[in-house]
Amino acid sequence: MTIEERPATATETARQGYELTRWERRFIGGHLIIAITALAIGSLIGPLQALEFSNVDLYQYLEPVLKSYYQGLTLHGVLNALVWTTFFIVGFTNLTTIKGLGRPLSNPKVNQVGFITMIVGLVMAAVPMLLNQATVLYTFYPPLEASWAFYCGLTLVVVGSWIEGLGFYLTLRAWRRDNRGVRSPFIALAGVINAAMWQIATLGIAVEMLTMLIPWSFGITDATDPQLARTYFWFTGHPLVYFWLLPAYVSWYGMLPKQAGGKLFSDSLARLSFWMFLLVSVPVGFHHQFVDPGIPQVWKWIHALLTYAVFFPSMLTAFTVIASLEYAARRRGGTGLIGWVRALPWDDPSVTAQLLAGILFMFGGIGGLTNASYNINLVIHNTAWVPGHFHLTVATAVTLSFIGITYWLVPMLMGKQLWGRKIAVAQSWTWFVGMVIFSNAMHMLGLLGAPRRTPLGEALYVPDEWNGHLLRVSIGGTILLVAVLMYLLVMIKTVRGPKVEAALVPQMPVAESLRDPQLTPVWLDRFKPWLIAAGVLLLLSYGPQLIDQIVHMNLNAPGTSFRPW
Amino acid sequence: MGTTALDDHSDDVSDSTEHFKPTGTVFVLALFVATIILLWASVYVILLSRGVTL
Amino acid sequence: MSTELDERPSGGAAEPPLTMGIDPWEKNWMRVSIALLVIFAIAITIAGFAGGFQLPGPESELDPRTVTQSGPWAQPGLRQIGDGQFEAYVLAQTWNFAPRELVVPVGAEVDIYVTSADLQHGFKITDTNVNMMVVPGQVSKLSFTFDDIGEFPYICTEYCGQGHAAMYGTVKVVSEADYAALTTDTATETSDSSATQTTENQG
Repeated sequence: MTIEERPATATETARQGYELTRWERRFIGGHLIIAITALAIGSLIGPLQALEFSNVDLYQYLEPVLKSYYQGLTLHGVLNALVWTTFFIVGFTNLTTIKGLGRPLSNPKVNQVGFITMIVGLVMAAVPMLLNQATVLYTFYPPLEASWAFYCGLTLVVVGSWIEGLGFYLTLRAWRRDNRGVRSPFIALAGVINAAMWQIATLGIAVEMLTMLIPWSFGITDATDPQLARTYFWFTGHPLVYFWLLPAYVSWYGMLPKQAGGKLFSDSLARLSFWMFLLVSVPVGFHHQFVDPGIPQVWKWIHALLTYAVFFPSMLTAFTVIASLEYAARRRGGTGLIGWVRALPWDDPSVTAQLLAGILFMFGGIGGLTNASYNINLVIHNTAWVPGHFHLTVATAVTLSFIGITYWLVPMLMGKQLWGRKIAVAQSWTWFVGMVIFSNAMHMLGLLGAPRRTPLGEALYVPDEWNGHLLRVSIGGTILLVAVLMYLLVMIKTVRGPKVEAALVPQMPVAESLRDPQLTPVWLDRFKPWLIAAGVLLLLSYGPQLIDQIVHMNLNAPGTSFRPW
Repeated sequence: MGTTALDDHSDDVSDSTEHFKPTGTVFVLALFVATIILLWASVYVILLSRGVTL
Repeated sequence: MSTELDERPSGGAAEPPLTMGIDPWEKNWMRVSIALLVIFAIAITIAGFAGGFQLPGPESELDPRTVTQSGPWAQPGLRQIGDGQFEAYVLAQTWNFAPRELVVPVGAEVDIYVTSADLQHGFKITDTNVNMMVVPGQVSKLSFTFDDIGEFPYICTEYCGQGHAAMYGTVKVVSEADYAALTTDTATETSDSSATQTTENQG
């Protein structure tokens, strides 16, 4: 087959030529330092849980620092799922906005204020977590009550991310004013769509915090309405996973094809899938509440179907990303129906990380579809299947992709070269192998009925038939610990390495599309119709139930008279 | 959703200058669909085997 | 906005039409994806709304602060309501289920009502489709017919504090003969075999 190339247009070349200023490098780097530190601490705690499943209780030796399995699990969840992701994503969106548009932030002070707000919030939430005053895991399920500082701190992290999101939007608007008629560059547009989706989605958790949890934790109110709190929480809880995932998609669509030596297969469909995520990421929260008592079955069923709808853009992504990779592989001389996969640059640690992340994400997607399937949820709800599932999605598809991004981003920001490319490649494979073992065992345990969030090593109801799977969880977790240590080694050595000449410093990979993006229809470049549609869909899918639950709100659950952990 | 709009442009690929046919992609995705059906159905069967709840 | 919508590509002189430019293979992939999701949706809908594999829904509401003082959860346990038909009232309270044991004859149809006196809990009976969140202020209900003899633990599936891993109970499904022997042993307590256990648990 012949493959002809479209030369980069003048505007594309000009945009990509923009050099980050010293301030921009430090600002983005600041986000990454916090993100990677959170990942390091959170991931080192993870194996403690995995080993507990085989009755290896390391917590007893950590008594002065970590009082219990649950405090460790709280730190693991909050640091990895909330802090690592949010700080990385906001930093990365700064990058895709600035480099994507080829211009500085229009209001850098706005982003600075947002970042500082996030840091203040993080410190405020970290203190009670470390003092064992907020051992409530990362779900805000009253009347399990954490310290007020935990709730206020996490609220500030979200508010800070809103402020930074505003900064991205203002920058895109300024660019559009100066570039009328030009299609917004994909990576910049996609980052802003994600920020907009996040701002809509976090309204749920904001209302939960401001109207229920914060007044209650300060003692202004005595009790809570746990059912309503759950509805608020899951309004945000599921779009949260798309907030994590979409930046990985930005890289898979907009960068990985370039790194693999190819182009983006379809600019239109990449945009379409992002708009669809804006539309249907949020009105799906009841699929986390399938077995809740207070929500009518028909609304659960509607949200199940809407969750199926949000699966569709991920199916589009699968085609477009794999086709972009195949195009790259064929250009590199790859042949055969499946043999072309070998021609991809598997010696590039950033590519390998993202390819392996994508492979496991296919299985994460299948598990997610299963979770969303209405009554099938009865089989796996709140079982070990669920953490098994999200360790394929957030802990691999997202985290391993972000790790892959740092393999070029950190050296680029610091003017250095990546240290230990082979170790970095091996790191991704180690993560992959560890996660396959860990998550498969967790899925199996879930099907057998093992509960999630539970130290199964000390649980009294564990039958012998679970033991093999429990052991595999521990083995997988230990392999993952090795993968984390390898990653930290590569990062520390890279950061401490010498500066190198500009030609040796990695460049930001920005994939051009096979077709000129100017051929993409205008309706795939406009916020207004999609935001209106998202608002209408949200009102229809959530409005009646929210109104009903708020009207019938009953603040009658005070919780326990003692601290339950 | 959106498919009617897409169908309006069903023959527009001809304006593309390249002739790349993603056969390998189709093959990989065929395997993917088979895996989805297999794994999803296996949990569906577990549901059916564990008794009604009404 | 309206002028921007009229924009045409600025690049080529020939001004080709604005299109999605979708590859025919990709279009087929969209069709396959949609077909797959529609088939799955039909399968779960039929199982749920015609087949009886149904989720819990709104049952009733109560005040968790007074639930142990009056009403059915003041004396949690099993009550027989007809031939082979039972109601089970289970109270979840940090970190116990009351009662800890539900003994039913094989084939028993049991309406299971669970609520919480304090925190959120979970209630999942192993090897069955009974799986519910237990939320203070709400009553969770599912019905289940126990067709197999054996022991089926019900496990708290939501984190509720330090004792969470110890929070479970057991459904004992026994043969008709064993059940008859058991009920004559405990004589008067056929309709509420768990009253004694309940007091124990709350001590």
